[in-house]
Amino acid sequence: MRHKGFLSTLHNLVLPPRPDPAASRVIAEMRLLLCASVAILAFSIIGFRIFNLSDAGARERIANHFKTSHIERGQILDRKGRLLATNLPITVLHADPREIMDVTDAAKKLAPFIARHDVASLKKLLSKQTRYVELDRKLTPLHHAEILRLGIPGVYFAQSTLRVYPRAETAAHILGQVDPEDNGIAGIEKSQDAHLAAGKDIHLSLDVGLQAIMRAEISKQINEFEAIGGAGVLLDTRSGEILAMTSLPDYNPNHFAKASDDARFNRATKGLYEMGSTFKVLNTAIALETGAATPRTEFEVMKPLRVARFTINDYHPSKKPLNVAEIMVHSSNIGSALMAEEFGAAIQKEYMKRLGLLDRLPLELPEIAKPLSPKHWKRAATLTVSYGHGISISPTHLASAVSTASSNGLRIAPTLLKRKAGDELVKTRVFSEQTARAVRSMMRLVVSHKEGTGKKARAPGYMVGGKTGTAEKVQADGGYNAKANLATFVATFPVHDPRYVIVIMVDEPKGQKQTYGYATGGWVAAPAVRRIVEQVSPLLGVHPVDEESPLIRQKLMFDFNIGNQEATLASF
Amino acid sequence: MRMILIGAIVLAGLGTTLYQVKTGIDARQDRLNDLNLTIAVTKRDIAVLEAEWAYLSRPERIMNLSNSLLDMEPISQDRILPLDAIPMRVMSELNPEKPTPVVQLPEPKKPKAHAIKHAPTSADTNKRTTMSVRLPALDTKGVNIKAILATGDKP
Repeated sequence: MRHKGFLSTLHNLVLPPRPDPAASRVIAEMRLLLCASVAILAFSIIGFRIFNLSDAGARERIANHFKTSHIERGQILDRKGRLLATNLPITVLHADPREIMDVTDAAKKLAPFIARHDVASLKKLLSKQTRYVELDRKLTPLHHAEILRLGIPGVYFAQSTLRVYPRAETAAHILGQVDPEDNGIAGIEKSQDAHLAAGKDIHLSLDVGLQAIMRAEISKQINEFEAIGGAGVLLDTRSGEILAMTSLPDYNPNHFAKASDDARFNRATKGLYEMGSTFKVLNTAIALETGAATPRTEFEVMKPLRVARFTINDYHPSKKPLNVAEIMVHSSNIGSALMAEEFGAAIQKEYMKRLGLLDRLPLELPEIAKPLSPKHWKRAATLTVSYGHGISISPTHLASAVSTASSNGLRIAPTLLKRKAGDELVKTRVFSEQTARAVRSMMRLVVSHKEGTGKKARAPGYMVGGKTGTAEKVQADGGYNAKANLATFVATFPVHDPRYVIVIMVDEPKGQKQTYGYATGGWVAAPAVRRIVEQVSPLLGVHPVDEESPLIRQKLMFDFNIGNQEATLASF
Repeated sequence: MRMILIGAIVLAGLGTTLYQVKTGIDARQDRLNDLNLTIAVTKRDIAVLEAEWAYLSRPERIMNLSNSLLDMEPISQDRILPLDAIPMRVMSELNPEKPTPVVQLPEPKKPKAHAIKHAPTSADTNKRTTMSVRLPALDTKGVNIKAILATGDKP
């Protein structure tokens, strides 16, 4: 029975008894409805997913990406639009240590492609408890491909930009540096950071060509005289623009980390030096301006001058009184001191202030130093300042002050940014035109006169005027080091129509056989000035002139008396 | 029934137009993105090339190349002359089109050797010696060109 019952159940299952047609229709309809709704539901879900996945906003987001993608840092260009700093695309290799499965294996595989890490340091990096470690910047496309092929999970690539300085050492100190996040940390990069970060370009007043000439010539002198460094500034006297500025030794800003502190130091703006005899230009200008002396006023320079606890001596003592022009030509310390005594401490200090020699340079660089000036500006200080001791300034200070004293008497703040056509210059009158003319005529005599100390700066046809300076460097203990000199030369050219001022400074030159053991401004810095003037003049559009022509002579003042002879026209 | 049919057709038409407009916008947006991307890539390429050019045109490098490959040297001052020092080709001030005015020179001295005098012909009396001024054959220094030009070459 039971057996029979099971069979009948099976039979019923396989071949169910035919229900009556009415019931069967209901069942069929129910089944159709069920199938239809399942199908509709399935398709709706698929449709919804498709809609979901289709991401209608993708295009807008891509479009927005272009609008808001981070602005690239502005470029730095020279006055003629030549590139000095720009950005290059780079690939950054980074990793998420939590996603790295086998640290040792990953480190071993990656090490050959990453220059800055070895296996050990990579392992250390990859086992850090962070979600981001940077493994390498500046990844080459080849290494990029190789690392991709390794297929290590947790290693990622990101596109970024790298700040590069394609002209290498040129203007390294002025351009400065950025940190890995592209924030300016030195030089123009720092001072103009906001401007550059906004994607705007900076046009410097520098000219890459002039810069290269100056750098080559100064380094030639440094090598020849085994000096420890040097600096140079070329200034446009009419606009205050600095056309070239060099500090040596320098460095390649693309490898900033490798540069020594000495190389990073900008001697042209941050270095403070006692400039020595080049100050006599300023001293003479003050004396003429205040009426303390005329070019023909004579001073008794035969005996050393005793001041308090020290004595002022001359390099080549004169046996007879010297007039103001002769004091310049022979570079007499005693004469300069006596001249300063005529106008006194207060006036000297006031003029130093007006020339900007007591304050930081108003320059667009963070690397500027405050000059060191006498604390007690009494008689002794006045006399030493007259020939450039007891006051420490930067070479750029000197260039600016001499530009004021020798070109037109107007002080124009020096700048490293290119002046635009309509820019209004702030000019402050410090000296009269008459004084400036007398000063630059005397500077011309220093170069052109047969007894002048700056004869080696004479670039025929270009009318160079200048003043030498040889200062003993101040030691750490406060005394002077007779063996460590600072050879400087400050020049203005062309003298009959002053346009440019050059300052060349060579730090601790050693006397050489070919210079008969001399390492003075006249031997070390003056020849560099001559070569620089000869090379930059054609670039600056300064034409050589006939030095003897009456038109040129007319523009110089020749009411001088040198060595009991009227300063002949030919001696200019 | 007819209204439903018309409505359906209108609806279908509107739907199609809407679809066309939408896909058109999408296609244009794609193209815009493409162009923007190309611009960005090209700009980047230009920046790379500019940087490379700046690197290759460093004055230090050019100086070295010039020293080793070229036979050139800085121009010394005695090889530079102002423009005034170069004698200019004489041009007529009255008529710039006429390049070479004719200057009249005094009649040449008769050579001593010629003892025989020829009777002057009518042609000879009218014909005076004329000569074109062509520099640098003639040194104009000290010659009053204005005065010469003013007299002209009237026959």
